[in-house]
Amino acid sequence: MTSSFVKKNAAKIIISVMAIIWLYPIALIAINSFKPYNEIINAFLSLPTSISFDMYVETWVDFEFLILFRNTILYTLVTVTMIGVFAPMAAYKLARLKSHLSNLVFLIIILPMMVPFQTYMITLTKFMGNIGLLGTRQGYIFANIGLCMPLAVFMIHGFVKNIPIELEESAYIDGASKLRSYIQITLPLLKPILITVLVIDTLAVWNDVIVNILILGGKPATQNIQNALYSKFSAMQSDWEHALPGLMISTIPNIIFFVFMQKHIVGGITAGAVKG
Amino acid sequence: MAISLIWRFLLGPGFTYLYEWTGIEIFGISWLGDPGYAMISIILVSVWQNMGFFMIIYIAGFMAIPKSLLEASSIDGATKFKRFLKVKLPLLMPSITICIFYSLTFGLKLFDIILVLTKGGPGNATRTVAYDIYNDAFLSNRYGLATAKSLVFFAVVLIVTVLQLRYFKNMEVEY
Repeated sequence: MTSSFVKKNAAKIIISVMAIIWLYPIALIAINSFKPYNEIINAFLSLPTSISFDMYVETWVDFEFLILFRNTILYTLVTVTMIGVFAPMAAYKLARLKSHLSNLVFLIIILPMMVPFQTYMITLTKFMGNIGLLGTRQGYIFANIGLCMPLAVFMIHGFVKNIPIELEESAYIDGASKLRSYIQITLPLLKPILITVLVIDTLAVWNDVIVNILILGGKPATQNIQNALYSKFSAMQSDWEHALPGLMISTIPNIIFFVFMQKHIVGGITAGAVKG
Repeated sequence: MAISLIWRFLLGPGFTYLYEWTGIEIFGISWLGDPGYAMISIILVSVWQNMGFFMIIYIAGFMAIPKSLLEASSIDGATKFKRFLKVKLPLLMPSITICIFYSLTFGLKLFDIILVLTKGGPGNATRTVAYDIYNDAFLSNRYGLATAKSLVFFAVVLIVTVLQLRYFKNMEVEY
């Protein structure tokens, strides 16, 4: 009985065991984040003797997580809103206009997708310095919008091409203005791809480190969570009893977002995979 | 970022504890401090991090294989292994192309993990081009050198990825 059960589900069992091993490092971090320092060092694998949230509270205050969350949410929201408003507009117009100029403009917009970020990070930083936006929130948000725009326009552009133009034409005949037909007819049809794009960009901005380091530097008032984690960790090399709760707190939003947006994240990855 | 920090903890105090507890040689090695092993740990961490991403692409690839072809092959008497080798694998080529493309670019642009785990060290053992450019430009203030390097880097990435895409596109089958 048992042997036939094992035989039947061997693949499933192996996969489950592998998945548990794969996630075990994260579980270890979660377990250790509740322990005081000497327990982390002396009893690394065992469960904590008592669960207390003291370290979490201390870390929340110490890391100034309130400011960090406010910063990160602000950056993400503004960037994603701007992408959500302007990327479909640009992509829509560029896809509908069938001229050489629009092809050229489209090419210029999506060109940064082929260039590695490290190639233009120096010029980006210098440019931000020249126009006086280095070290400001606006500068960081502008940079993020610019960095997210190519992929967004590219993906929406491909989607617009498959939307039948007849729908808009019938709207024109019924007397709708161009703007109105865009907002009421085209935009709702773009919703699936738009959600995918916005999910990708939310993840990109939320998890961004390097642009934040380059443009905002190490100032705690304007850092985002990831940058703060990096700089705090560098400062306190072995203060693991504060570092681990900090790590956990910063990861929780990602996990929540992933659980709710799983379908769209998977969709985003496969949609992004088609582009190659 | 969090991934790299998790591994900095595990490879540091975590492995030290495991070594003292079990005495197994593997945990006693200084995984980030030894030039030979630092690269291996960087590679393992980045594999660990990206595995799920690639698996999703492959799963989507498998789902896209038409059922009729699989049925036809089993009617023709193909074993499971043969069916995988001769039917599924060739039809999975587009996914393989994309995955290799991504892993190539991820590898060439590797930065976050290096920044947190080793900072290019020990010595220059794990210094990637991306980290080198960052280091030259923003830590040593040699902007000219870094800009030149970044252009060469761009050219290399472009050539490598174009060649890879060309080569693998030729291996894809039509049906």
